[in-house]
Amino acid sequence: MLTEYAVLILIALGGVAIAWQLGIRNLWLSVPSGLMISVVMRDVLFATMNMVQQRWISGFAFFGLLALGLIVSAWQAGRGLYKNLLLATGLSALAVTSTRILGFQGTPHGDSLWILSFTRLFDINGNIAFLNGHTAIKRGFSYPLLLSLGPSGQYLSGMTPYIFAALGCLVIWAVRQLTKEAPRKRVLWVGALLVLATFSTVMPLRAIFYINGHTLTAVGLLAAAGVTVLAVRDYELSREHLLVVCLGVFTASTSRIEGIVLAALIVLPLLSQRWISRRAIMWIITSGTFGLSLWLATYHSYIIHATHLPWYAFMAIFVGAGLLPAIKLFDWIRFRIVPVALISMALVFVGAEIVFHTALRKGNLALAANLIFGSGRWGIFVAAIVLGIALGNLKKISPEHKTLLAITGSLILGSLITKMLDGGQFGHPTLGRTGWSDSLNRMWLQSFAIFLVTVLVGLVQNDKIWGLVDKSKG
Amino acid sequence: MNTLKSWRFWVLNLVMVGVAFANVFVLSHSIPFIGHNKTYNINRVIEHSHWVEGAPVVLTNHFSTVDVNHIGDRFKNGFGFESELIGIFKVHSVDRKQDPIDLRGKITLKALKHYRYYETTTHCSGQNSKYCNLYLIWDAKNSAPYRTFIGARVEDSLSINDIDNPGRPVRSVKTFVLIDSNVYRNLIGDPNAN
Repeated sequence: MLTEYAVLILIALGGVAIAWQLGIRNLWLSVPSGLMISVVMRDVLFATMNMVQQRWISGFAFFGLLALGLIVSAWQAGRGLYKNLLLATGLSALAVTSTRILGFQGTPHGDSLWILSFTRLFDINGNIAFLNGHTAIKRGFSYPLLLSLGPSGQYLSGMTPYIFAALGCLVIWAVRQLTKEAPRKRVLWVGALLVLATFSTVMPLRAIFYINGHTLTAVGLLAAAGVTVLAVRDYELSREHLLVVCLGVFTASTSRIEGIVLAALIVLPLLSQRWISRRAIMWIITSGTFGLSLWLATYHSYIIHATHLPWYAFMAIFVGAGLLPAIKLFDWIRFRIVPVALISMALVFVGAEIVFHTALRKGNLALAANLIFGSGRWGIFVAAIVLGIALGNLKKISPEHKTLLAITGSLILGSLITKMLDGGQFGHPTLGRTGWSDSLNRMWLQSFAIFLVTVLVGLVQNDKIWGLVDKSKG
Repeated sequence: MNTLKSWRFWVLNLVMVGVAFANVFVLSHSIPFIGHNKTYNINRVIEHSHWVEGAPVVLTNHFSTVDVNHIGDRFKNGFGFESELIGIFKVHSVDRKQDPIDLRGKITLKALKHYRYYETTTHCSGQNSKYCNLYLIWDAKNSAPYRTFIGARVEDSLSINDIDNPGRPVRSVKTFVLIDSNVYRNLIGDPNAN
């Protein structure tokens, strides 16, 4: 138990300290950024050491770098860093206490046990070639790697609630940044109502201890979404925010296989800006393509085998192809990519529903049962989201609310389409099923935090809700 | 400004509180997580959960070297024994070339349960349910750490999977056993006799 306290607190503190060094100093952003920095370091070190068959070094190097970052930052920052470190220490200690002392654990599920099996493989330094099948690629890379940092033979049980806590911090950061101009009372009132609706629902509560990569993906996606919305609003992408969006895209792309698609949809409004530098575009896209290809190469993935290319050639082509949108030749389409993507996805979705009506029927029924009739353990949470969006300020829409709505729409359509392509809605007997464990039903865990921020911003900005009547009409 | 005169304000509050009330008190709900857990060892977590894929893990939890044969093809007459888990948890060898030996009419599950057993499920084909019952059976008095397990099919029994899901009709499903070769020889004879 003490080992787990020490390990998780070091991960939390080291991450926050390195984030500080890199310029990420906001209190609420420091914990999720620290977590995402840990994800990048763990993945890159493990994959690099794996290439030279020295995986055992990666754990030592990871903790060594975190400790070094902590010492250097504490030395340089002095008192300035203490609030961030206190928050990280408190949350990580609380996370370990919840699992090790209070004994909370996630709902049993087959996917969790697969992830723990891969965690065991990383823990014993086993043969990674066993991960070349379809099962492994669907269970993610970053999350089992983080879990494998626990005591020998065990998993790092506090990591899962700590990830949820980081998501909570990220929501607070995004809300504070996006509602700076709004009256504090409105933000607190709407925030309290949304907290009530969210934590009376089983699925968000289940995400706290549920062993799966969804919440880690949610952290990456919300980080990317938050920065995208702020940058589009302010016509500016600061160095700090560029780093956060890159960390978010990397984290999402390495924690779930659909993560890179969802992350791409989220950053489209940012990439479509005329003012964004080509270098920033390249950094953001490469964060996703590099992360995913690193994962595929490390797992000896069947996807790379199918191309008959050596892994380094595959990585080079994949990362290189990802840089194409930064070329001037593609500017015309890049500037219009958000409506083009939304309309295309809507057409694909509607077209598939018409053409494959019979095959999709089972998935659609399961979707309705899970989201609307309660089988998916979302209660009537969807009603809160729909009403929240409908009551939002849709007439005099602000740039940040407009971007959030575009992201929300993209995520809904993107999630539905990725599950169609994955086979979830095309009649595979184990997918598109009624119940909380249906994979599309669990995928909403990745985006519900973004939906909440969208609803909150819209409600806070609608003066009519708060009794302010627009008198400009005369 | 008078917030209390805005109907939108009241709709917002009523709906959000209504959603929370319905979620907590009206709709059927299950517990979001479980308490009092004391198991963090991955191998033990898997064994305690009676996972449908867990047979290779359970066998290697109890014995240092495990060989398995007569598994067959899970899409034909055999049953699932996941190759990734065989590799990760280091099952020494698995022979899938032969189908499980048919012991129906020769020995009952009840007789096999006199030995130490672990009850779980596995994937299989050829029936309505995609889950079959699977029992791992060995002699606890034998201390040898090296074991060979032989796959066999016994009479169908009530689905463990259905029994674990209250409200679901309980069906009779194919039932397989992985028997320690020593137990097999004592009870039935030479597995290669046919």
